[in-house]
Amino acid sequence: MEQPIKNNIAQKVMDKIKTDKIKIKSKLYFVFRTAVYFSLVALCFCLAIFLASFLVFAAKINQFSFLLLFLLFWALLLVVGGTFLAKKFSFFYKKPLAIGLIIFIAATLISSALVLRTTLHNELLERSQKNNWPIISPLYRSGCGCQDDCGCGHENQQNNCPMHVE
Amino acid sequence: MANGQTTTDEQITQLAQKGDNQAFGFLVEKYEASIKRYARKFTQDPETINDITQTVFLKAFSHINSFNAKLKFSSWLYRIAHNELVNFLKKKKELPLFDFDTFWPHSAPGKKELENETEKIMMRETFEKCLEKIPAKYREVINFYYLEDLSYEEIADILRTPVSTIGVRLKRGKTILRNLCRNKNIWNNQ
Repeated sequence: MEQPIKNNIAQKVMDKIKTDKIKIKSKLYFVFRTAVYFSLVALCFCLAIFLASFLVFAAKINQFSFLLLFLLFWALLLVVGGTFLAKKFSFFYKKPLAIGLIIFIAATLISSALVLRTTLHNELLERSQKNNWPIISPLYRSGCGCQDDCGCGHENQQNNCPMHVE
Repeated sequence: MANGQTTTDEQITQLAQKGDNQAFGFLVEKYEASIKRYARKFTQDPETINDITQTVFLKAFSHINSFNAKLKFSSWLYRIAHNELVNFLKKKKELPLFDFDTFWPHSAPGKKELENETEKIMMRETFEKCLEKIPAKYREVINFYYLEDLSYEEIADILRTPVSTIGVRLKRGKTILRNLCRNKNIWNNQ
């Protein structure tokens, strides 16, 4: 009973292969797919670093706001999402998810602390006032509590919002 | 012997990667019984078993270029079969969407504790008798460890699960087996 079914399956598989119903996907496809996964993990990581450092930067200027709480939620979502995406790679799937999350959070916090030592957010705040960039300008204006006419970024005008965090 | 077999499989896979369909046909014949045996642990319907087996080999063929020579061919094939069975079991709602076993770190039981040969034989017998009463996530690990004779690391690679989780699942699965089959006098000697 077992033998005819066995032959039948092998035959069906080989028939589909021979009639070109199933094609071999190229190596490039798999390289591209891995690259997309890797880029998504890296994107989640970079965005989480940006948001985490921005949260600290904005909190120093504007203290608590619902926008910051919303951004904190997104930063956490990116960390969790990035950890799940990273499970495709053996370094992460061989470790329990909690360890992966701790690694991701620790790397995000350390990198955020390093970003905060640079003038990135100060410069972005300044430039976002001078230019009307989508997402970035409203984010910095709202996050740092700046009014449209506060003069942020204009050296000759009186600056009502504390642009430069010491 | 095992090494020779692995090398042969890798060489055959390389031929299949270069477009030798007959080489792939050889692999289908060689592993068909193993994949069917694996699928049979989760469903008794012969048609479903055949469908799953066929899908596994067709996917293996189309994804042959993703085969990594660092892995054993059998482990790679089992990984495809595992994905197919997970989809099948999720449709039947036999698998949870998230498993907390993979979340927390566990201290895995020592391998010596589980690698007693006599116990392995008894486990195989018991497993076949009580198959349906064991939850799918334990059934899978028990099947790979006791029936397919794979190592913790190989099972971890197939299931993409931490090695410590494999140890914990084996331990829990074994406890379930003991409880289920105590009345069958299989474990009376222990």
